[in-house]
Formats: sequence, structure tokens, C-alpha cells
Amino acid sequence: MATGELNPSHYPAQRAAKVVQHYLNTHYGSPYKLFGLERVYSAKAEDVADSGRKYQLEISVHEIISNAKEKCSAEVFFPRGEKQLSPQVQVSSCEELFKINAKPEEEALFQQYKTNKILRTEKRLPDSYGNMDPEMTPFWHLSIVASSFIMLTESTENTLYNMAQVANITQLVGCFTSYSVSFLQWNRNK
Amino acid sequence: MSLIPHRLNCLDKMKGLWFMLVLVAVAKSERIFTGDQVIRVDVQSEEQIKLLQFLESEEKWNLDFWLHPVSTKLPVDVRVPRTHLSAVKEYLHAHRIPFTVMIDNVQELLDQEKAEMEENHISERSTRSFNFGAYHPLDTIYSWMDTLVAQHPNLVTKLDMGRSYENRPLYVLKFSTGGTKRPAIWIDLGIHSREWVSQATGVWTANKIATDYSTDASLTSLLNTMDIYMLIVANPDGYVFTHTSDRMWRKTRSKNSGSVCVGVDPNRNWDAGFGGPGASSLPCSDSYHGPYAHSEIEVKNIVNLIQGHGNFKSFISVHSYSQLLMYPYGYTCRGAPDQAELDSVARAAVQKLTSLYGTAYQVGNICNIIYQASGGSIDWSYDVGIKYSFAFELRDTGRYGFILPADQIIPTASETWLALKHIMEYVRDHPY
Repeated sequence: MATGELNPSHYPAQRAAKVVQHYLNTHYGSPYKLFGLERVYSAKAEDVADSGRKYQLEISVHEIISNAKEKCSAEVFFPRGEKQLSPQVQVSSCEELFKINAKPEEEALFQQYKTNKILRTEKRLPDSYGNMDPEMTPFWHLSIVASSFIMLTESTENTLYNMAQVANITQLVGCFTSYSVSFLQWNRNK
Repeated sequence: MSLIPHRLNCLDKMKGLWFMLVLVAVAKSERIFTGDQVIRVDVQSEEQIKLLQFLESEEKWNLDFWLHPVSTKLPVDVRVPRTHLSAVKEYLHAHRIPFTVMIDNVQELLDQEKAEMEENHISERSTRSFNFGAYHPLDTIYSWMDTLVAQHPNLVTKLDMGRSYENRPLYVLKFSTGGTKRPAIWIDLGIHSREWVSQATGVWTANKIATDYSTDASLTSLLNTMDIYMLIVANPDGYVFTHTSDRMWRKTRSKNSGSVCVGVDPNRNWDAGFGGPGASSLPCSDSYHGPYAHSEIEVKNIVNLIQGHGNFKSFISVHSYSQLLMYPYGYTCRGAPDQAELDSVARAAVQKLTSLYGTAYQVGNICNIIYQASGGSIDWSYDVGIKYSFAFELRDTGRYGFILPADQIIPTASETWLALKHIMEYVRDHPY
């Protein structure tokens, strides 16, 4: 594996940067706030003793709904070991994006569906043709956030995960409203 | 005609009468020829000519001569109304004039013709309004190919280049203005069936080439010296499967002996570093390379065509997604001998692509840009001597991925066309 200054458009840098996207969505994502990796400006990799490899990245991140873009610095550490462990991510100088306030919309969505006593199940978001009921878009975003958690946990230096499609999303009514998102598929071969 | 019932007053009744008259007039204006026959007379003597000319002059028979009696060297064709058929035939028999019935029932023919015209009208309308901004099933794409050929018969032909595993035809569109085995450009799309924007881009692009030829100077000069071969659906079995069963299917549909899993990754099946890193030896894997190189008939058919032709100068495979324009190699990260030139062509092509909507593409060799992958098509084509070998990964970068909304088809195809054109022009201007 390459060490030192990496070509930002080659896959080792791109894959590490994608992990940052999964991290941001896992920790800060919501039905109204979703992050995408826009560009990798520079990347450096170094081995950390025997414990793993660390990537230092200068990237730009795109908040998809508000269309805001910001440059961020990030560090991604891929631990090495017998058992596969999740990468660790640290992000800095990205504060503007975190300040984006989607609370009103999120609250409105929550209220709207909290009182909904009907058990909702949606299959296939989007459908085979890329179509989606606009009302379902926040739930598609929610599913991306949920899958980001899995993608973050599972990422290695050799993976590039994206959520392909929501197979099934069901609203469970109880003390609180929660969503079960099942059978997410993700794939890397293009 | 509105059938809203209402109470008829005097004025309405008058209107009704006029309407009836109009209807009758309209009905009468379309003439019916039921039972009329067209008879051909092979005239053998001047006397027979005179007899037929007499028939022609007799208005009461109401004969409609399609070919007039003028000489013994030419046949005489006459449409005889049903009511006069027996009389006319008797006349001909009596004077020993031999005849044959050419058209048994004129109205039947007219009805048929009308139906055909309507069909053509509908299909013409539908090709003009063929929705390039939509995904279509295989049968629709195949029948659209025929209409494209029909509309541009001097430029486009459809060649049957063999069958798929499940015996579907593999149709390649050949754009050619003549010559024999002119230097040619190969473009294949949809070899991975789930990459729907690839096949859809092929359909749009084929139409673009056909309609821009003779109006676009550069394209015209290109097609005056080179041919373009476009295989829009390189994996028809897989494509049908993505419509009927599994939208995410990637491979062929060939059975793997000793396994329940179906299909081989057709872009790991080429004889270029076959079986090396980046391909799996497990039939259940999405990147299963297959039992041996070119085991997949879809791949073998392309290999046969390319090698049989022997004069391809460029080989372009179109995939999705990731927004990349790549050149060999995938099976090794070692640079190809022509890397510098290929890189500069690709960068210039991407600049053109980006100029349309700002879509950002990365450029590089497969191994560095996407992943090490052995047995790929453009590695094979490069290694058999086709220097200008490129692979596209179209939109997007993962937001929708393979399930790209249809409203992005035309923008994707339009921007990609600028890159394709640049590559093709470069190939035209750098013969080797």
C-alpha cells in the first residue's frame, strides 16, 4: 500500500475520504441533513507502528440539501489486526457545515409521523427507475444515515461503500417512533 | 361525436338533420371497392387491342384501365367493378382473350394498405417521440433499432453478431458510409446489466450519430473515412433479468457447473491477465471471472467480431457509475506503454464533458483510479493492438448509483457525447 503523499484522485485516497462521509452522516446526518464527499485535495498515508495505517486528508464536503460546501481536514485510522475493526475518524475545520440548522424540518417530520397510527411500510426507495415519491425523500435520507452507520463500521482501505437501495422501511409505533430499515444493499463493483 | 343526451327542441332537430346530412356526405366520399377485381390481359394481336379499346369506350361498364390497351408488347390492366365482373369476363371468353386475375378484391388491399399506413404513422410518431429520457426494456430497444435503421438506411445497419447464453440476439449498430473494413471505432454498453444509464446512453448516442451525420462537419468527416460499431446491449440476458427479477444483477446468466450460483462477470472474463487479482474464482461472486477466458458467449462474440474485422483503431467500454474516464491497465498497476498519450486524450475529453454541466470526472488507469481488476475488456483490446482503448464510468458518484433517475439520462448522454466525440476525432486524426 502506498505511503506518504498520495495521488488524490487514485483510489487509496478516495476510499479513505469516503469513510469521512460515512462518519459525518452517522454522527450528524438526519432526514434533512446529508453529506457527500465532493473532492479530495490532498492525502497522506503513514503506518502507525504495527497497529494500523493513518490517512491525513484535505477534502471538501457537500451538504446535499442546503447545497453548502466546505473544506475540511480529516484523519482516518484503519486499525490492523486479526479481527476487523472499524476505522476511527476525526474531523476538523468543518464547523460551518455542522452549524446548518435543520431542526425545524426534523421536528415537523417527527410530529407528523409520531401521531400517525398506521403502520407504514415502504418498499424499494428509489424504484428500479430511480423514481421516488417526494414524500418519501426524508425517509430515503434517513435510510442513508442508517446505512452510513453500517458502512462506517464495515469500511476498510479496500472498500468503497454506497447505499444502493432501500429494500424495506417500516414505521414501528410504540412509546417513541422508530424506523426499521431492512435489507439495505450496498455494493462496490461497477 | 358527443353523445350527451338532451331534450330535443325544434332547433336541435334542425341541427340533427344537418349533422345527419354531413355524416352521409362524409360516408359517401370514401369510396368502397369491395369485390372489384383487377384483371390483366396479355394481348396477343392487334385485333385484341381493338376489342379492348372498344371495352374502354363503353361507359356503361365503368371500367377503370390501369394500363391502357396500346400495344401487343405491353399487358393491359383493368379494374372491373363487381357488378360488371361476370359480363366483362364473358366478353373476354367469347373473344378468346386470355386473362388472369391480379387482384382478387381491391377493397381488401386498400384496407390492408390503410392499416399499414396507420401502423407506420404510429411508429413514425413514436420514433419521433421515442422517449430518450426513459429506461426501456430490451424488446423496446431492439424494435427502436429497426426504426433507426429504417430512418437512416444509408448510414446505419443492424448486424446480428451472435447469440447470448439464453439465445437472445446480440445486435450491433454499424454506422458506415461505405468502403470495406474501414478503420473502425468500437463502443460497447451495458455489459454489466444493472448499469442502466449505460444502455440508455447508447440509445441516445446512436440516434445522435445518425441525426448529426451530414449536419455536423466533424462527425461527417469522421464517418466519411471511419466506421462506428455500437453494441448497445452487450449483456441482454442480464438486462432482461434486471427488469424481471433483480435490478442489481451484474453478470451474465450462464449456469456454473457444480454451483447453484448463476453468471460470470463479463468484465473479468477477457483474456488479459485472466484469473489475476481483482477477480474472483468463486461462482457466487459478483466478480467471478468464469471457468476460462472468453467462456462467456457474449464476450466471445465480441472477440470474434473484432479479430475477424482486424481494423479497429479504438475500443470503448461504457459502464456506470463513478464518473471516471480510464485507460489500461486494470490487471496491473504498471503503466501502459502509451499511458502519457492516453492520459492526455482522456483529460481533454473530460474537459469537454465537464464544459456542459460541470460534471466532474477523474482520469487515470483502471488499476490506480478504481481498483485492480484482471480480465477486463479494454486491457484485452489494448493488448491485441487497439491503442485507443478507454472505459467510461458514467454518472453519478454514489447518491443514486446504479438506480440513476431517468431525468439524468439525457444530460448524462449529452455530456458523454462531447467526450466520445473528442476521442473519436483524435482517433481519426492520428491514424496508425
